[in-house]
Amino acid sequence: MSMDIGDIGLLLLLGLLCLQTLSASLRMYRWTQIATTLAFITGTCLFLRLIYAYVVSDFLLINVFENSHSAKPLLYKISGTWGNHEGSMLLFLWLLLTITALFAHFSHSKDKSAVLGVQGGLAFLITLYIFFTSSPFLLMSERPQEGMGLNPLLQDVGLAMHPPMLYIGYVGWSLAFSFAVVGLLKGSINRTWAEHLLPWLRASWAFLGIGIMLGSWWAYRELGWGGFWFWDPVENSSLLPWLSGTALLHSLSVTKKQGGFQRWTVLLCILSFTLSLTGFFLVRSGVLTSVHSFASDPGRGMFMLAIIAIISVGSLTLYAIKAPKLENSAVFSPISRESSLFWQNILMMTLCGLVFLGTIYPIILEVMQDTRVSVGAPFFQATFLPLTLPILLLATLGMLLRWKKDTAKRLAKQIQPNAIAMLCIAAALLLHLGGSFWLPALATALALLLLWHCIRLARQQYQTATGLTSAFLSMVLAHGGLAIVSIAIACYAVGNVEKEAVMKLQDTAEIADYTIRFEDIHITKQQNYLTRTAAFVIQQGDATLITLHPENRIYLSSGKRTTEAAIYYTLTHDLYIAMSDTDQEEALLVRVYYNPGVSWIWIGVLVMASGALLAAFKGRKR
Amino acid sequence: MKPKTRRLWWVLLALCCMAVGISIILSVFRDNLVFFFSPTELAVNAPSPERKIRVGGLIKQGSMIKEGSQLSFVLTDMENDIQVIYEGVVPPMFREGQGIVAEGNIDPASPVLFHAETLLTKHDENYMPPEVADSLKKTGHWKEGDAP
Repeated sequence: MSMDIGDIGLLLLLGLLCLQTLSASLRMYRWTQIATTLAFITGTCLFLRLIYAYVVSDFLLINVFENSHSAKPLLYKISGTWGNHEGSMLLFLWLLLTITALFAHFSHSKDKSAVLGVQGGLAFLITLYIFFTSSPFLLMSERPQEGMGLNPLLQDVGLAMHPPMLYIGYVGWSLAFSFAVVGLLKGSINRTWAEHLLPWLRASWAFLGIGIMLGSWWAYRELGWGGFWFWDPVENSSLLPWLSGTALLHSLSVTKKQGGFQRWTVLLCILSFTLSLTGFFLVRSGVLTSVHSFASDPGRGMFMLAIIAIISVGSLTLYAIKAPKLENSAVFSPISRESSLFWQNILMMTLCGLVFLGTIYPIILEVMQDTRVSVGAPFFQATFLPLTLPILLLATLGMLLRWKKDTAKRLAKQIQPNAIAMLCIAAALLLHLGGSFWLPALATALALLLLWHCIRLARQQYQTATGLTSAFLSMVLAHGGLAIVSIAIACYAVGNVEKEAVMKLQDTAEIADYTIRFEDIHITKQQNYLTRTAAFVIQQGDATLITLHPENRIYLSSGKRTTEAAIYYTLTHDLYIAMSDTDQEEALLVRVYYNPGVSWIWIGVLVMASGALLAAFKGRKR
Repeated sequence: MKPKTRRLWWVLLALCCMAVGISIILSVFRDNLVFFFSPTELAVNAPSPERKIRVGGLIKQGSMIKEGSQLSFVLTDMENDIQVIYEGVVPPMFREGQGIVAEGNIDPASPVLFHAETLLTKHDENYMPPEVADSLKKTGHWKEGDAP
């Protein structure tokens, strides 16, 4: 079998990455820069070569044959490039090369070339993995007429953008890892080190958050169950690096301010990147049964596991040797900003540990005892959610406290007036909703407190001589976004209503203050699927608001079926209709959901991300 | 009290709290573990009807019956069968011959009847849940080339 130019390109890339790492370790830094740029160009050509094959439907490539079809709309042909295992690995590699090249170009860190060396090593391992187990450039023996199509559930805008966003987040933590390794080797974990690393991590954190949100948004619209987070192992895998990353960002700010928390920060750098890779591995290796695992070859899994083992064991050994030499110079009083950041870190890592336990335990049990188990959502809800309350409180206190040393009296003075208001709100909510909703009630009260102080502090800062700096604004945006998300989730938890009804034509169903009438049903053919579309007229009182069109689809090339929910969005809530996929025409089984607050979850995440991105771009060290 | 003694008390208090916290977490954890059974494993060693469990297998040909909003069918791993009853919306890709996983409880009166609360199917026609594939392998009915 002949080799595609893509495979030759992979070999070339391996050589360039070798050059990148070796030249950095030999301190021939000119060569490191050259190798980095060439590696990026080669990687981009490889990625474009694959996209091109998809766009023109070149089915000679096995990857294109298995995952595409000439009848697919162009957008989804392009996004189909990364809608499969091999393609998504190539996307991951390309993003890693891109962020390395961006770092090479924009960073002014003294350790830049050393960091590039480590990045080269990481990219080398990934390229090795791709070349030997997951090359998207393998060829068929002869060119087939048509492809085998794409999973129809993935033909969605949100899901098309979800992997790229998520992977930008994941590869960003590679810089944290490289900085940590270089810092350990040189013994230079200090304020400058933190200053140069922070902008990159802030940007990555923002993208990771957006990526997770897009996945959640997709699940909400596509899976037809009205929920947005199912504590699914795949969802959890992407949450883990986000949780440890949030802890890391805050720990780094202490290191940047006064050089404290060094050992802990370095450990978090290593941990966050390891969690990114592990999350990636868990999804790609098919180890989990859940909504979206699609690689199934154990050989790949073992290779990936070996890479993670090399990276984590190697870096932790380095940590064990070098970390004791780092001076831990944080001195602060129990009531201070450092202290609140300390507790925030403890809480974040506890949450991380809980999610990790619930996600990994089934895998370990299966490997050791051959017993199959799954951890139900109630575990996460009972343990994770209550811990968000102290986190919300700390988010407020942390903003109000001074660095190094502050007093309880001063804190009380700032918080007293609205603490009382908050307690009243909490009490009112508890009385109104009943004791079973204590968690959303308290969360709402604490989130309102947080939001209030975000606005108040921003106004206060605006009126000072220095004005509203971008650093301050970004903190306020990020914490404000958190408050919005919390309130939105609380509203959803308290107010969501689900209803199932068997409906014949002209039947009506009622939910909240809406009346829904089943008007019409018909079958039509689209570009690559057949759809059975129903029309539901939504009325509120006497006014007819809108007609919703949920669908059941059959995709022609594969026979796969999906359910498309129809959603009516308002500012405060969503009305959501899905119908079951049956062959009967006379009566439909319909699910209707009244979901308050859901749109604000997405908005809140975007606000958080905007805060982080603002800090990343405006807060760069010149 | 000397500062050192005071510190010791703080540490002990922290350890106690941690111990309490960890035992709460672990007990919630244990309560929410949902074990998977194949029809054969159920026949051999049926768990208590109070435990929520998962059962997986292939939907037996000709066994799907729908009455109103209630669906009943038989799950098999080619050696043993279990009758499943389910109320509610049927997920897509739910066909006879398909490998699926059902989550719910065994009927208290009859160990060969299963009340499913949730049906898990995959959005891929050739998907076979790993547990179901493994249990088919155990009963010797796995054909190589059945795509996982």
